[in-house]
Amino acid sequence: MAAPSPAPAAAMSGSRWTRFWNGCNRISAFIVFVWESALWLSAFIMLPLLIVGFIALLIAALFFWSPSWYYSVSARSEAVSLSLPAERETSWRIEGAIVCSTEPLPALAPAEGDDVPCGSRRWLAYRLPAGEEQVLVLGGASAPGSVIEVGFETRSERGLMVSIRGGGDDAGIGMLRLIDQGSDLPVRGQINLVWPDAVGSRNLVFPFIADRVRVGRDVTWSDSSLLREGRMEIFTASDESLSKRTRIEETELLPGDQIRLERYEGETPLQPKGFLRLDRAHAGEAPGTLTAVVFGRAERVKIERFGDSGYDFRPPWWAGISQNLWLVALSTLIAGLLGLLGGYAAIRDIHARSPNKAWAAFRRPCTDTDARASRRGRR
Amino acid sequence: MPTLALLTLLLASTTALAAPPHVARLVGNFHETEAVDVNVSGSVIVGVASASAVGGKAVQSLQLLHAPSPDKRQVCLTLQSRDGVYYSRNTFELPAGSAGSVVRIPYDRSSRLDRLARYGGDELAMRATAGSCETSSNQYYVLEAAAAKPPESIRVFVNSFGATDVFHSSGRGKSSACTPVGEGRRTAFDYWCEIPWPRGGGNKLAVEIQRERFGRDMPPVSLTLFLKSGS
Repeated sequence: MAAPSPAPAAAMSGSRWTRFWNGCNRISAFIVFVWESALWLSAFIMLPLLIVGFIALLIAALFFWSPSWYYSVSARSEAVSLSLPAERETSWRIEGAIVCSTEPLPALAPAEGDDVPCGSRRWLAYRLPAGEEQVLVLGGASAPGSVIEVGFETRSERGLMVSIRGGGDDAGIGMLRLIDQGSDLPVRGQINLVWPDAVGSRNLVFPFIADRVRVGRDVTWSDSSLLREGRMEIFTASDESLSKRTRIEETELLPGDQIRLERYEGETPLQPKGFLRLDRAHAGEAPGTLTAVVFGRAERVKIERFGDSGYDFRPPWWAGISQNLWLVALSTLIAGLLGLLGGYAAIRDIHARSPNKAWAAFRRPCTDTDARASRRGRR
Repeated sequence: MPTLALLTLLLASTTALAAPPHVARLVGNFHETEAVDVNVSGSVIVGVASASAVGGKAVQSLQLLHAPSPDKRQVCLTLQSRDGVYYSRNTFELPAGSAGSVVRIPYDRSSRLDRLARYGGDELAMRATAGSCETSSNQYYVLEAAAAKPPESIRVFVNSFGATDVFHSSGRGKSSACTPVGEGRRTAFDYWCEIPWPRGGGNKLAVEIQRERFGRDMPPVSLTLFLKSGS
């Protein structure tokens, strides 16, 4: 049996490689075409479109899409005042207080003696039954729009005074719920609650949802109650952080500052909410201070400071941009695309000036010089 | 011919109502300040004016219901904004023979009339006390913006200095509660009291402002208001 001739095999092999290379060239050419097209589209279509979109979003973020700003105030103050909506019930435990009322409260025992802090004759003083639970329920009346004004002011010996005023002289402001006796006393007119000192009393906490909250008081020469210290922060809603909010700005409050947070009248109205706490267990600080924690929504909050007309505490202008996820994503995309194109252009430029070409360029002047030198030698 | 005479008479009376014949004269230089550093001191009574003469626009047509028998011909006009930013205090001299008449107070030297006009009804307090600004007085003229008819009520702006309740009483009437200013900054004043204009009374009205702080009485403040004669 004769050995097979290598020629047909080589021919067959050559045609296969030829076919392969021919095909490969087409494929590589096609890939290069696609790549070049993508580059062209990126550089001249996508990038301008992205930049136009970025500018449009930037304008929208600056002028039309304002994020929701939430303000959080944490302060120690000797004076706080609230405007509570009359249609909402607000309940506070008031054990240990002396109730000063302009209207009789027959179910309570009158308070008598020189130490009764109710003041002038128009006030009737009552002591709450000791060892029992009493809850003051403010509001809950069907009087939309009316408010109950409540003023808190600390006094010496860690005492506290609270003034509660309804819409009119004989308007109902709520009820006093005597839990142990199972009875409710309607409260009308005006009342003051006075905790003369901290003796035998518990810490006091007053949670609230209000129409208006004022922490601190204008500094005047005749009044010593003021805000001692505090901090105010601005947050915005965020899905990125675990707490679902991101802190944007923070400022310290100075003694004498006054902060007002009011009901936010937007598409979704939001009332300031928070609580006041008077820690009466620790003696030594006279008068005590109310710890006020308030949370509300606003475009800006004015800090009124002693000796000046106050300034607006608001997020910086760029905060709305930095918190816009679309804007951040678009700017990242533009930056990435610019980086990619810039990098590719740089690599191609480097490749165009390869070492071989550089060497050739380097060699070319030498050859000419040599030629000229040799010509001079021959002469 | 009688129609013409009637028209002339009507025109003359309208002109007399629109512009009072007496105009007060500024004594010394005009003084006003508008500063970021607010004025935080002051007195309990910050403003006394007719209820229709409140707000910044009223200063451009300010009139004073001159007392029929004034002790002094000078008045001290003080304007103070509730936020404490604007403050002015100037002495004016009332013309001789103007007793019992309406006297216009020209407030045209101010360079801040535009800004003053932006102050609302409960944002600017005006008061005119008897005597020059170098002296203190508890006698107040009632300022008015249009004196064509007697005002319905007088508004007294009060700096309560931390009071929880403010009342006013006049004559033998019982005390009435004053209204707290709920919104905005309350540096210069934080209450206003609406006093009905007394009908058929004398030329003066004694008013007392009482204040309470959590039930405790604060010192009362007495003031005398000069009324327009014949009202």
